[in-house]
Amino acid sequence: MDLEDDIEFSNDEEEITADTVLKTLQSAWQNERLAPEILPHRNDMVECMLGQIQHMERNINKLPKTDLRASIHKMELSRIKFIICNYLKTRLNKIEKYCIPILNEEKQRIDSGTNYLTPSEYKYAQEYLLNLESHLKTVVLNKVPNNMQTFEMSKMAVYPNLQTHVFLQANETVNGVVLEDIFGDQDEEIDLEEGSQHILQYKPIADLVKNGKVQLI
Amino acid sequence: MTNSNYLNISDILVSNEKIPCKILQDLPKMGFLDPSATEDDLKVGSNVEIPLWLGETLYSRRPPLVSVDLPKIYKDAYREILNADACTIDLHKFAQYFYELGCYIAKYDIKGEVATTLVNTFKQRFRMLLAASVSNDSIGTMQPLSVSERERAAAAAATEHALSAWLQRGDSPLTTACMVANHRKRKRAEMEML
Amino acid sequence: MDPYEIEFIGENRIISIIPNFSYDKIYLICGEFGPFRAGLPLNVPLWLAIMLKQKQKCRIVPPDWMEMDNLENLKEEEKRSRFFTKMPNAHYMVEAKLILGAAGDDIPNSAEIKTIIKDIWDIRMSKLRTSMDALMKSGGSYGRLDHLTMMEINSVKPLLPAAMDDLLRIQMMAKKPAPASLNNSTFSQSGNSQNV
Repeated sequence: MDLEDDIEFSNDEEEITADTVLKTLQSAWQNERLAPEILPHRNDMVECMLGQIQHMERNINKLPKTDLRASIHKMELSRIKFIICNYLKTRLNKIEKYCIPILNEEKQRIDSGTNYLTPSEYKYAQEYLLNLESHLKTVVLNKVPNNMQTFEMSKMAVYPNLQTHVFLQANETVNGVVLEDIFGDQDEEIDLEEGSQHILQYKPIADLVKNGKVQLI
Repeated sequence: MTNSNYLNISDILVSNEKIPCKILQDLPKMGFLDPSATEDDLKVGSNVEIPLWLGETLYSRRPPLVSVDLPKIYKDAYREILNADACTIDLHKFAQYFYELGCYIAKYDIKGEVATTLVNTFKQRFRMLLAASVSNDSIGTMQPLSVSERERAAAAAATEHALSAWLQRGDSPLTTACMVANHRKRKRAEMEML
Repeated sequence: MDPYEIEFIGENRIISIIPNFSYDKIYLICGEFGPFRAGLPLNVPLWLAIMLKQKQKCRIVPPDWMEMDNLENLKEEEKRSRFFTKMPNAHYMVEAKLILGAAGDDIPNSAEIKTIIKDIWDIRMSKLRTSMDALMKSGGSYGRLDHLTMMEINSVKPLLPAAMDDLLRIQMMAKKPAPASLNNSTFSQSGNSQNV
């Protein structure tokens, strides 16, 4: 079976191997699982991998059912599908839980072209919030006294805890990460050497997760 | 202890905990707040135990209608014990929302000693959480823990169980084979009876 | 995360097998493997090795680190040091468990090897509990944990990060004056601060 291993990226000239796409996707999945907030989407990688899977599945169908190679390919595809499904589900869970702040922040990000959600995730979030509101109105708000009937968005908002502590491994050396002292007068700087592992607050390293300099573990 | 937000149930439960307050102004028709009161009105100087949410509201009036006193567990006598060895105290019995209530109460303690005690107590008692998460006697080790400590210990025990289940899986194929064999034997026995 | 998810991640590691069949190269998404020549060793991902073994299509070549001598040294080192020693493999427990579980017959002294790896694991787990307690006592805001494997780190979740979160919240809510210094704790030798 001759399977095309390389995928060409339509939006830039650079060629990227399926293997690299898979590794990127796996690290995005791991980060998404372990980060308290929603991370910038990697829809490029998801789409690319889904294309690969389709291509591969067509080829597998050409093989006899009992062929050992077919079962090996199927096993690999199941593994990749698990990562993609779990990745997308994890994002949907966060979108539902932190719907209100995510939508508020996303509106500003869309203006500057740095959106975190895919267009379909954005639509999902908006519809989810509308459903939540109309459900609460039907079930509770319409039945309480007039002055208590408003759906108070700010009170309903649940925020991710960015001060939560996370484990990470540094992909490359990052010097001078500032750990804020909670009382504001004794901030401390630490260096994250390549390969070293730490437990610390998410907030000061959030950008490092997003730009790939550290991996959550 | 969970992130506090408007709809957080445990935060609501904490705000229902009773705190001792001293009444600073006569409060007409509020006598029902003091079970020992004989009159309809609540008089200046009465001591009452009222829920935290009410105490905070009355305290925040200008001028304040009450002064807030520390619940027993945050006072000198208990603080001394807690600072000496926090692990000896049954928080579930004395203050099941010890940390959460303490965070609200700490601001009424001008000397800041309550805050120090909360932090020290938490640090010292961490080893009780560790012990409870791996203990075979989960009832005994969980008993003296506060509500939030119990939640933490239970989550840690769940991790521990998942891990030992993972470690044991496939490790003793003999047991499985044995069970299958017995099952077959039972089936055969059943069939022979027919 | 669930231990099975960590196992899933660990299954991407490459190990060596000796197939009993011959095939050309196979082009997987995660890379190309083969050609498979009956009787000749080649490298494949762990998940593939286990799958082939279960289908009785290969023998698994025990990884070097899984030899008795190496493991005995490792165990001694782990016992001697107050810190976590560097493991020969970032998913040693996953690899050991899967290989010994599926291919015990390919590994000489598999029972002894299983025991000694479990010993090393137990020493490290008890060290980990002591380190966690020390980390919390010393301030519980930052810790360095080199050489701990993902499965080991996962075993302290959610307890350790949650306790650190709780402590931070108590400190912020109770608005206590600043402590003397930021408390560093380190789980390993290479940390730049004091010992655990």
